[in-house]
Amino acid sequence: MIELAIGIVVLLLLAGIGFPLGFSLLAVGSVGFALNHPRGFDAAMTVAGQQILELSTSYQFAVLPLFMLMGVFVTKSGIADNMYDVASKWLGQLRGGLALSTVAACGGMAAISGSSMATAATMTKVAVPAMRRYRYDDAFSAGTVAAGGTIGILIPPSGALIIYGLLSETDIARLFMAGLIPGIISILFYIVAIQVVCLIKPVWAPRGDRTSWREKLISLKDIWSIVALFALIMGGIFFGVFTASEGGGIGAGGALLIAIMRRRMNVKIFFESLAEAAKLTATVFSVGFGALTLNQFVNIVGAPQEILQFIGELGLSPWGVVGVILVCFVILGTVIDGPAMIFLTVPIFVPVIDGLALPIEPDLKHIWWGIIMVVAVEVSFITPPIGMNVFVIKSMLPDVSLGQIYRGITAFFIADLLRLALFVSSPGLVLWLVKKLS
Amino acid sequence: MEADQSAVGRALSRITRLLSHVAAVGIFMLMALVFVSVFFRYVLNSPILATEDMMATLLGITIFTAVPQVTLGRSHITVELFVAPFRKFPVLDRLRKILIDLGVIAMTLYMSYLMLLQASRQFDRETESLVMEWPLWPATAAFATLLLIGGILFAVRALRDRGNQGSGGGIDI
Repeated sequence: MIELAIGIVVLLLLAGIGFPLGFSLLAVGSVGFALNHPRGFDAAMTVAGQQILELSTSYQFAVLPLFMLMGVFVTKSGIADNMYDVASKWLGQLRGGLALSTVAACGGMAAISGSSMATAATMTKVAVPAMRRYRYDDAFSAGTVAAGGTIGILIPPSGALIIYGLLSETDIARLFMAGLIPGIISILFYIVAIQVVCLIKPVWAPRGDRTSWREKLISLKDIWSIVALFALIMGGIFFGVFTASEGGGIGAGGALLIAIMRRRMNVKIFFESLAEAAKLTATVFSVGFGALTLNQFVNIVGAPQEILQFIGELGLSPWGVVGVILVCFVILGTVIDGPAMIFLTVPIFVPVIDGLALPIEPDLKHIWWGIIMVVAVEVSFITPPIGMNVFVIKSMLPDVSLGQIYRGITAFFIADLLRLALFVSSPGLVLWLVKKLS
Repeated sequence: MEADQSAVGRALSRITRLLSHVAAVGIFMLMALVFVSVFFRYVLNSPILATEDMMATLLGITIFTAVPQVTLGRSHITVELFVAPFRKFPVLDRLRKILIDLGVIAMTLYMSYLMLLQASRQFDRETESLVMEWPLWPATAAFATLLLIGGILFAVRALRDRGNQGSGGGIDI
């Protein structure tokens, strides 16, 4: 284990001084494996090469770029504006209405994007100017978008759930099913958080304009196609009409058709979207290559067994073990991004969860843990010192300080911890839809 | 990438654009293939046998044509946790950037070598794809070549920048 500890320190130093995360993981993984294998670098290069090749030519992993493409088409075609517009017509007149609209639109974006940072970046452009117009507190506006964006990786289709499903050999369709109810509950928790903030600091979030029922109903015509696309993809995957990979392709094609129908797509935007999705794919897979290689190092030094043994020696209850793992996630998430965290931790923690005597059916344990893990990753996106969503928003709102954004996030962070506790303590709630539809 | 009117700059920009087009075509074909495959299976009741093999290859093409662009654009994911102190000393910061560039070149070439080793193993073992039994080594050798091109292009760029350009994908605290 001392080798692994040294490896992690080197990894932190390399990544910390700005060396690309994927390359840092690959370098530490390769060297660590070589130093612990009798055949040294020969074995390390064979293993690293196999990991890279298997991941980059995996039919199952083709689902990831397809859902990314769908998200890019949706983002580039300005559908987020429509979502926010509809949400603000329905909720804007309430106290904190524009913040509520932001969270609702984030939920809508999540249903067709699958990326937390993309959702946060898009909604910053759309929602923050409107909130500033109505004199919302800057910290609260930025905090709302940062927190709202995290829902992107829980509501299906979700890139994080796809990576988890493929690595843990869990059915992606059932994971998507399981993500739906917790996703909706997350939105409800954020709504309560906004209302509490409005009670304590009413000046932070004044009411918006009132809209007539006629206007509200007419506004729905702008989003029916998105609702239909979501229903088509999820319905198709849930009921086994097509696989998750095919769902990704159909979703991307559907998003393209919607953008064309709305006259938001031209040849230039089309090629830009394709190129951007390809680059996003390469960025995520580069981290995956490194993380899978590092996992080989982790395995060769016997870390999973030692961790299991260590946890056993602690004498904790199964729930105590889950708690310790979740704390590890939140700490890890402050220095490593979401996909890398999932690539790194699934091979270590899923066997630990398998071995715990939790009151969950064995075939549903992986699904429940997938949702819990993704919620923990979500929390890490807004946890200091490196909340990924916070930095995305900071880069787009240079006049708002990091301190202000973290202040604006406080209420949502508390809501996050509460919902994480709820999902951990109520597996039945998380798994209800899966059980109903299976 | 910033506008660069020199011959090397123009060449870099052309190759990057070409790679970008190939990656775009790759991901588009991935999407189109899924559509066609579902259509054939449900409407014509005649599934396309090669779908899985083609999707696996197209995924590889998309990734390995896009990786050099991500590297050239310095947009790999970075977590610049300890960078702030370097910024106070410009010489030290420049040295850090040069070292990172050298590391990126080394890792890109290392990945290219790893793919070359895999291609050679596949050639020796006559490894074939699962469904259509296509030989796999040509695609893997192409991935190695793309990574090599990426490494060389980045080396040229790093030589020209000499530590004056930082990461584009970093999270700066």
